[in-house]
Amino acid sequence: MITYHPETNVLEAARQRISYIFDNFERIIVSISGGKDSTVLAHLALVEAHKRGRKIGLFYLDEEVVYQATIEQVEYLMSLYPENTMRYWFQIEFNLTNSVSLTDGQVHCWDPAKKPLWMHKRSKNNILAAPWSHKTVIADKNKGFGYYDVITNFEMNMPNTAHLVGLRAVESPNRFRAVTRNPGFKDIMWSTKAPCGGVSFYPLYDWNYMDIWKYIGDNNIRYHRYYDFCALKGIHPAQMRVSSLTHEKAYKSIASLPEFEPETYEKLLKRIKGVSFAQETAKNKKMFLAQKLPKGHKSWREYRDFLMQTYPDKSKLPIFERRFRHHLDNEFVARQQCRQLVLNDYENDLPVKNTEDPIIQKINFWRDVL
Amino acid sequence: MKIDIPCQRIQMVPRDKIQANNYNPNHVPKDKMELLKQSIIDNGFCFPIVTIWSEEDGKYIIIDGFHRYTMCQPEWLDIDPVPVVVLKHDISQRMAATIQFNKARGVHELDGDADIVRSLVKQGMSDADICQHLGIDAETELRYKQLTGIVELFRKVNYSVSWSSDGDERDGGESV
Repeated sequence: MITYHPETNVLEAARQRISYIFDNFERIIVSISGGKDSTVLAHLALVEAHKRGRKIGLFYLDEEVVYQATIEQVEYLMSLYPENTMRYWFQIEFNLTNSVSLTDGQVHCWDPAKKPLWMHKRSKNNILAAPWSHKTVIADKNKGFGYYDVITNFEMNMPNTAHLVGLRAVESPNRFRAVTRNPGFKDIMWSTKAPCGGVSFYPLYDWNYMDIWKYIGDNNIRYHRYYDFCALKGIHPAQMRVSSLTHEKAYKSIASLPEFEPETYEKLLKRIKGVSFAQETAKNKKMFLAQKLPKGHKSWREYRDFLMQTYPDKSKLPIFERRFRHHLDNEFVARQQCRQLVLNDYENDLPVKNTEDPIIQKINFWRDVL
Repeated sequence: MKIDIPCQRIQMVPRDKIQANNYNPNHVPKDKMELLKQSIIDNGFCFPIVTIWSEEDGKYIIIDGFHRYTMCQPEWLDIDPVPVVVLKHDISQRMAATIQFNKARGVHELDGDADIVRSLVKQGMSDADICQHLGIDAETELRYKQLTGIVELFRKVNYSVSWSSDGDERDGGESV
């Protein structure tokens, strides 16, 4: 059950929550992304650290293939209260999904062989090699050492630590309820367990986007320029998101990149394959969205078979064949299979909903009724 | 490499001797047509229509410049005769050329456009004139003029009320 507390606004509540974490944990690390929520969270935590004369960690996992504005924002946060900040800026090699290329399904970020093409610079102040001594844990052998593996291994290396995360419930109520069903620390519902005695806390869970912007405005904090770009473009503030340039929905951010950061777009063209095509077709319903059947194909099933036959990477093809063998044979499923094929989603980041075609079900229902 | 310069050989030909091609995928939306019209009024007809001569049809077939050609029609600016250059391309060269002409162009950086609008405002150009000559509507112009950024929109709101959950999902889920 949800209980409202009219006597306490979200800012006072978040300050109390952060103070509670400082009382209970010696080691505190805030995960930052360059986005607005983690910017606010890092600022609140840094102010508390400053007040108490303590040091906290700021953890940023640098995917290399990111907006220049993200790097600037992270650098800003790292330098806000240097005497209270431990810099956990990771620039280590790992694998990212590249959904816009059929031949290069993954980007190996910070690949030494690609050094002349790196999207931005590596710095000696940052962490450039895996700092842990335990054997590296990898969740999915198909994907290799990926984004979440870095986080898991980092957390394993930081026992009894409070990890602060800027997750907000209004953003994704389902996810919030899913993660907070069991408290991760004492009776704190806005926390979950992390590896090795660590706990993840979500002190901003009840904030909405207006609270975020008010805090940024009131405290004169710098924020990612992409939000102003979105505002100019007329995107609703609740929909604004600084998202990745490489994961399975990256084609959406690539669409506006030449306009937002032309230089980053130029670098991206050289760094990963498939960018130019994605930029031109990102908003086309026939392409990555797979919402409309391209002309020349009579059905999604036929289009899927065509995509399978012409799929260029023979080593990855069996992954799709094995997966699709277990699926139902209908248009609803086939459309989703097409989407996986055009996004080269052998990692299964956007799983196929394997059910009867809801349209056919509806037709059958009305046939029975009438 | 020796580059040919066809724009030195402009011919004035009757409007009805020019014909569209049947493969051009380029579509220019209405607001951009109005901008093209304004551009021709403000700057004159600077770019000839690129064509080939088709013996079979007895016409000049357009490779590039269909929308400029549309501007020559009576319902737009009524220009006759029309300046053209004539290339000697076969069909595959023509198709490639059409794509090259359509796509080899830049994207405006949003900030750059906004800077131009703000600079025109400073130079004393009226809102209506800016809209007309840049081919933008009043709302777009307003957005360009908004210098303040997103943060100004929420400065005056109050922080919302905090809440807590006891982890029981059976009710209250909707109020999140």
